[in-house]
Amino acid sequence: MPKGSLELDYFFNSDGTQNELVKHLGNCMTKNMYFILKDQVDSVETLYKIYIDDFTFHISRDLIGKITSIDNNDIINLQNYVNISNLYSIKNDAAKAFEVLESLLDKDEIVFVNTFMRKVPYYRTYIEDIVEQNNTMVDRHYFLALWHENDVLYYLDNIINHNKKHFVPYNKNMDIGVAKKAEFINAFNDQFSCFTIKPNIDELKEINKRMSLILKRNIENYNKEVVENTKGDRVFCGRNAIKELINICKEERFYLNEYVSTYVTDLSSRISVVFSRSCDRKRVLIYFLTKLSSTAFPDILKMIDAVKVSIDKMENARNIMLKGNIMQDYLIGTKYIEYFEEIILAEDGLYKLLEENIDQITDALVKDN
Amino acid sequence: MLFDTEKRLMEILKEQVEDIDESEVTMDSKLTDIGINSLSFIKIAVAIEKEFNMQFEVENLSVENFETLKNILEYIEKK
Repeated sequence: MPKGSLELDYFFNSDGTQNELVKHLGNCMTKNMYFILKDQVDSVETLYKIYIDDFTFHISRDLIGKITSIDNNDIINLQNYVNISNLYSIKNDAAKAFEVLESLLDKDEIVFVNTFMRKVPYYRTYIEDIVEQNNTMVDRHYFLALWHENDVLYYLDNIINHNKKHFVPYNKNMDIGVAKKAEFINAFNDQFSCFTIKPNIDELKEINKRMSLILKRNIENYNKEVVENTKGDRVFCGRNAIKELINICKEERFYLNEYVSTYVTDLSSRISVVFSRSCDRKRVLIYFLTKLSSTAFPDILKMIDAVKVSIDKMENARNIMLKGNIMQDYLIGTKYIEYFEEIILAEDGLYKLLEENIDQITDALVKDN
Repeated sequence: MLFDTEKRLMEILKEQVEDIDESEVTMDSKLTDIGINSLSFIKIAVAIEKEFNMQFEVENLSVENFETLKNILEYIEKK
């Protein structure tokens, strides 16, 4: 008798179509949070609202101008909305890891699992006969363990992470993968960590009240002055961060394949992730705005259009830089300036409308339950 | 002519998309169904530009603008 979690919808709806909004709910951690919380909260619509956060980002540069950080600004950490428990970290002991995992699954828990993914056959980065050792928390990826029986583990991961040669779908739910437990032994023998979550009901109740704060903080961050942090780095936020990207282009001293010391990815991937997250958050806002009547407030159609334009401009800049990286044309130079200027123009329009309509947008978001 | 373009496009896919099963791919295949995401689409676009000596407009570097392989084929033909 299969467990309930094998019958739920995840990336796909029950009619086989893709859940378009799930694609925009952030990274593996935050998407998996949604999958678990959606069946434990009163309103899925309200849950989506936790994914509308700050659209702005910041860039920090040290005294000699080195880029020390590029990241999205987060107003509310999504982990505030859950209580984490059953946190385990086990090194070099697959038997113990399975003991812990199976005992949690037997208690009807859905379990977040992190392991050495290059040793997991279903995963896109799987390398057969890999000899690397002691690679802990590789790419910080988490998949969900849903159920187990006999020698088989049922799990959930994003389709884009499947290794087509090895991924075997569960015949009753194509979202879910089925694998022999033995396929995880090598990875778990390196390292295994896991946890479970429950909704933090008190925090979730606050979502509607927080919509106003989130939109106001968005506007503040977009217009924020350049500040100096405790390390002496200058921090450029919102509009100033985009302007600083233009300055970086003018300086012609950075490269797309160059690493920022605080991240494990290069500048091309970093900028891509930051822009994509910003666009994802805007898409969740669009989801709510487009559900409203076209007369919900006078500027609603203008507002929807402004959000769409701002997404397009940010994605254009992201894609042209990714293309530069693929073509090994690594210099972050003046040719990118026009794309950032277009972002500023679009964001100025978006934030002007947001500021003018903040009360109506907040009301509309809060009423929509 | 179209057949030749189709063949060359298929060659590009084989080179750019990992583990693609040629026997399961038709011109009506949806890009997302055959494992093409936003990054792999840009890789394919770069390879197409090189192969067909053309340029994608920046707005068309998005996988969302092309639902199927046929849509890419038509785009190449128009260029």
